[in-house]
Amino acid sequence: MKKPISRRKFLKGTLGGAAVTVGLPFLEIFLNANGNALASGLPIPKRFGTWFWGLGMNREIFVPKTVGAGFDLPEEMASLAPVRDHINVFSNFDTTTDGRPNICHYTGWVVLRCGTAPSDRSDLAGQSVDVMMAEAIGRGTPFRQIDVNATGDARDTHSFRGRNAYNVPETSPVAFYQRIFGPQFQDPNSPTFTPNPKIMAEKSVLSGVIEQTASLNKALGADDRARLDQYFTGLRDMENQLAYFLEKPEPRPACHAPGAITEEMPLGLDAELIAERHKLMSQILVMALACDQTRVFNMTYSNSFAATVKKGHEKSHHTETHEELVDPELGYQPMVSWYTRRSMEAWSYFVQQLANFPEGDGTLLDNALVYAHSDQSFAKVHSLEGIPMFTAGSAGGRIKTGLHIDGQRSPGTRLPFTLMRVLDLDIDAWGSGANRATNDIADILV
Amino acid sequence: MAAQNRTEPTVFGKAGGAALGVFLLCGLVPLSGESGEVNGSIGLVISYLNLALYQTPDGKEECPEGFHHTQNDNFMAQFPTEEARETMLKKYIYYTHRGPNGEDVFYHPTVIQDPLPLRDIQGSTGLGIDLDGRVDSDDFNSPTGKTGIDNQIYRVVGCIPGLRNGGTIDGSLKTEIRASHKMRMLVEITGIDDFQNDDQVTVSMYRGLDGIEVAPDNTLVPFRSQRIDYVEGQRYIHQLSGRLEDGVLKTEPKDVMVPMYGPFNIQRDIVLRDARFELNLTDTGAEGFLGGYFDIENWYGSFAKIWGAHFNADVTGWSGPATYAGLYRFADAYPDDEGRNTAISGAYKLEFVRAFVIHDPAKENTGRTVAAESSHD
Amino acid sequence: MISRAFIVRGALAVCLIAVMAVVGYGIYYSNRPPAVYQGPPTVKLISQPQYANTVAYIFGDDIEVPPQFPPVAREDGLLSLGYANTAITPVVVERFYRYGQSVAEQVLGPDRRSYFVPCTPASVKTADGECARDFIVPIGRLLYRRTLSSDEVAAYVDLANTAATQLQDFYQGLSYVLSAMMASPEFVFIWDRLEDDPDNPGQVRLDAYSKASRLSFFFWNSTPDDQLLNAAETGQIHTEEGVRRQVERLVGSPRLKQSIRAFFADMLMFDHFENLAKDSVIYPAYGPGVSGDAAEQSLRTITHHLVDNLGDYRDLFTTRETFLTNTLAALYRVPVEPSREFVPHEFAEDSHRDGLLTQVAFLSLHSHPGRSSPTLRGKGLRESLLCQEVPRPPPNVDFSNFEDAAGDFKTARERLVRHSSDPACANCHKITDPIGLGFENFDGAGQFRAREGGALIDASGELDGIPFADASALGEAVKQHPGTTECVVSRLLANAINRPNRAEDVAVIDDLLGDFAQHGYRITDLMRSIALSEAFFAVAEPSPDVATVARAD
Repeated sequence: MKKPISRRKFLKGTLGGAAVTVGLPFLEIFLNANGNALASGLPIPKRFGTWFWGLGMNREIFVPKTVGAGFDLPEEMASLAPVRDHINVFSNFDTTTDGRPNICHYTGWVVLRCGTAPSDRSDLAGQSVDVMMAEAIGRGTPFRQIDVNATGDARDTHSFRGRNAYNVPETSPVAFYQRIFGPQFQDPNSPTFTPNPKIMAEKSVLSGVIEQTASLNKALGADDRARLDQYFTGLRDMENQLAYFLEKPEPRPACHAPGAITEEMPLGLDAELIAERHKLMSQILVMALACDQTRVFNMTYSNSFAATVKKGHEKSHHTETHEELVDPELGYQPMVSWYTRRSMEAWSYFVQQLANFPEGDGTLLDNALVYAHSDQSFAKVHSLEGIPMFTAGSAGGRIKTGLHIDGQRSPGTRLPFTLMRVLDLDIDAWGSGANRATNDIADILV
Repeated sequence: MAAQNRTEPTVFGKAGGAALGVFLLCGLVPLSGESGEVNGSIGLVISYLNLALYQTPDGKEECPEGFHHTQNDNFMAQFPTEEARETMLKKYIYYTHRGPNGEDVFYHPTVIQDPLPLRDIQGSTGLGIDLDGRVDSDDFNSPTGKTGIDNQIYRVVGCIPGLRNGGTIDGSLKTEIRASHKMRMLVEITGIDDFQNDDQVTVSMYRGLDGIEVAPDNTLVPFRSQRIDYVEGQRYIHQLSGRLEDGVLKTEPKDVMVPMYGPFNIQRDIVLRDARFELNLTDTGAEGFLGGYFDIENWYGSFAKIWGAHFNADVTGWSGPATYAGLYRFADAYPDDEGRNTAISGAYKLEFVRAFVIHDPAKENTGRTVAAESSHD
Repeated sequence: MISRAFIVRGALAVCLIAVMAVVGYGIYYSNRPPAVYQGPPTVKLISQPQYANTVAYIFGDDIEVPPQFPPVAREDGLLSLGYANTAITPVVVERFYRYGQSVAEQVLGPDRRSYFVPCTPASVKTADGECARDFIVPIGRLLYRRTLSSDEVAAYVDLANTAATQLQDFYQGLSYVLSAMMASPEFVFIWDRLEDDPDNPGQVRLDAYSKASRLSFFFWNSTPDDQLLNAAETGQIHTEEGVRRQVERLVGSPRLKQSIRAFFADMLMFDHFENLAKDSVIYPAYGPGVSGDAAEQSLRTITHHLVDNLGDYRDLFTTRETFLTNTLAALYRVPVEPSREFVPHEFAEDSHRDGLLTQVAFLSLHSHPGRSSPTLRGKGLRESLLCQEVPRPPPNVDFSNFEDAAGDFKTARERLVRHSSDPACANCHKITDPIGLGFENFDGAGQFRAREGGALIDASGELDGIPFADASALGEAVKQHPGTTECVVSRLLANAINRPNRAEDVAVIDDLLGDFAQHGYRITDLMRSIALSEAFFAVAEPSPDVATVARAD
């Protein structure tokens, strides 16, 4: 019987820093003289991702007092010290309900993901920003985008293609590992490449069956026709995925398929457990990026109603935001802040994972752009004003980092708008009504 | 083609609760759904057992000279030169074979005297039960102010590091108690009219058959059901009479047998004479003592068999001849014809969680035999 | 005729009597067929239990199927309706493809292939069209729920032959065909197909195979078996007698329990157990295995009461007959015969465990990880068992009222008094809390407690005018509540015909309710009534509406 590699061993062995060290010969062979492109002339791919945490922050101890470079790190984001120069902090940007009701824990993140305030809890106008990015930069990899979370609950996602059409996230490290690094994985650095005849046969059968069923009964309502079309789109994506595995992949010196993960994690939302799940999922994700299995991702650390709990403490994060007293001496809700600090530690960890991963003559983070935000600013009253946002990475030197930007109450949608333009999406405006963004956040542009 | 057909077990209905009928669920009407007390009874399953040893964290108070001299210490003292040791080992092969004719001194503790003295407990603080109703000069006082505590075995073995908190023996007992049913002591208190004060209750001891469940916080989950081991566990079945005083169970003395197992399935049961419980009952369990007189040959035989073989004595920190001699030196009960005491007072520290004891009337009707019926006052 | 809206609004015991008096006859004895709304045909994504039941029926229940599928949104209280509407993102298709692949690998792997392939190929290293056909024809019929056309069979055999030749492996080729068939929309969706109705020129009806599927998924939550497909092929299923014969066969089968389990697991929101964990410090007895056991206990209670005993549905809320494991029994603090399996158990009369709502499943599901929640329990009861909708909290709640003495509240009732003293909160919390407080004798893990924070718990309250003293009496009140029976009737109907209830369904529901009452509120009879009602197969041409779902690309 194959001995499963323990989770801990995996953490230590493959990603802790040691195993990512890539032998120099690889670098020399695969990179051009400047180190900023692969030897084949293809540029190192651009990546876009999001990172979400629920229930905002306490303004007084979160928002830096100084703007611009060298900003201070108030206590609630103190854990970001190691990554301060890799990130930007965006405060005082507004998100509005645009005359619609404030749908608690929903309106805020929906606006920041698709630019339009929802009118009810199932309303999602258009696609989320990551889906738009995936259309633009996600092609040419087996997985157009990858969505993961640290809660273990498949309902916790912030990526969607429209009403009722959430992208289902990976919740299990074992399943996630299997999906990316399972038997079909093609090591891009393998010196030889022979198309797998099994995948060839598999693909031709799948294509045949798609053809067989393409002329299904069309006596359907428009909605059902659309769903059937969606299904065929998915099947064609599957076909493309198989096709991708039949082509010789570009070498990716930083790519090392990690050892198999076979140990499932327990259920639950205890903060320690979430932190561990977040670490594991992040590490697989980072390797998936390094191996160019995907270029677009979403990570949900906690959902917008964050039910994160502290072991032995009877109230969850969300419950505490509403029920905990403001400590008169501290001036904030201590337990709520405890939960926020755990979120920031995870965000810091996530950025460090990308920042410490060598790629080309820099790091994975240098070639990535991550957009992080929450659903509220002050969760006690479901406030949408000044929902905290971050970016991490410079998208290959296209944006500055290490800045604190004061939005002066302009629309928060300006940030995703700017990021899409940075990654060459041809748009002049984004969002609707009062949340419509037309101005880049010029301070971060190079 | 296999049709899916998942059937569920036969239930109620015509069978009329037949499945339940096999087992008498100790009583009919619960007094309180919350506390899990069934018809004036309380069931308990063991979660911890070791000798009752009063101990300070570094042992300086009760063992001022240090812990026991080990087998190796005594070996080195007995054969002080390299040459002497080589000669002995060449002849008798193993370092515990220190007897004049190569006897293993753990199994033959009288063939020599250990060269190093026994380090017995100093001081007067101790745990356990006042067995004889007297306050003697060598009795202990508990940290909470109980006086007259009879626990002379503590004097002899209290400075053996393996027996102390976190020691090898202590750890082994914890493991054995959880790992299987071998040491799964059940205590059932029945005939309770008042859970605080009742001058007449019956206490039954059994060995359980079923697994326990460990909660994530490493405690045992209470209120699980345990069947009685009527076959192999017959010798552990005893009935005692007792009373409740302010929620504390106290029983009348009676000889009992306590299952005792060590690693590698080594079994040496313990006979405790005039045994009696003193247990503080809580909503979810109980803690306290089972006190009585250890038959010295039985106790030493068990201890040496489990913890004296090979290098176990060095792992756990003791030596056979000194300990054996110490037991007789401090023995305080059951004198033989020549007036020499053959038993020594002592107590087990016990912890229990609540459980339901499931009886099988068919097996109880076959007649219960109790290991030892004699009592002593 | 009592309108549905009136019952829900009025919610008085009086209504029940009125309903029973007015509709005291069964609908299929009635000379007055209700005007039936004809819904659009549906294309429904197969659910995890349906997939698992289908695979188990075709290939045996030792074939592993993933225990969880991608989540869908609950609609009108039922996931099963969500399956008829959910959009399909590419990642979902990828998952279904992989599920099918896994099944195919198991079925055609070396251990089982000889059992499922009814012939021996000429050589395992070459194509054998005849043998492939022998496998594809019967399996395809059960997977696609219809007989495959000869063109289809020929195409699939061709694909198997090509792959077998490419790989020099007969079984591998067949395996790819099976996995691709299981990724086909023909299998992954349960289709309503229409044809012209010869009895009503100008109108359409469900075709015979669609009727077979509708019956089979309603009664067995699984693919139609050979006999149903035969009844479809011969057209018997279009006759009243043919349907009646099939319904009797389906309702009498042990597989009925599959459907009852799935329906109640859905209605009671047991999918939430997939992610339920309790704080191990606060509730050490609620370990990782408990939530699964708890759900299973309630489902066994339900199927035992409704199917084995043919019991009155309303008695589910008072029955003390159930099944326990030793682990669950520890939470209930009752003795059982220790076993890894479930054993029958009858709670004692004064055990406080009367009915489904006092079982660990309901109580722990509608609680926080570290404490009970009268609000969640009240909401859970109203929404899942009485079909009432509880409004969401207003956006800008002022929680400052809680601050004054938050630390001094001993019991949940004291805490929640705040809700009712604040008008902004009171409107919704008066719907949930007074009934949720009835369960306060049970902590967040469902364990009984007489006190909280040292104070004696007052579990009294009222349910829509029916006062109760504690959870046991609340169970009695739910039993008496007219919404209880109406809710299960309307949900079961929606589940049967794959669409939410509409205003036009009132007459059908009222007739079914009358029939339900007349048959002693037996679920099996209700299911029979639904299947034999005119509403069951009623469909119309879909309206050419503009699509409202997102396109995937």
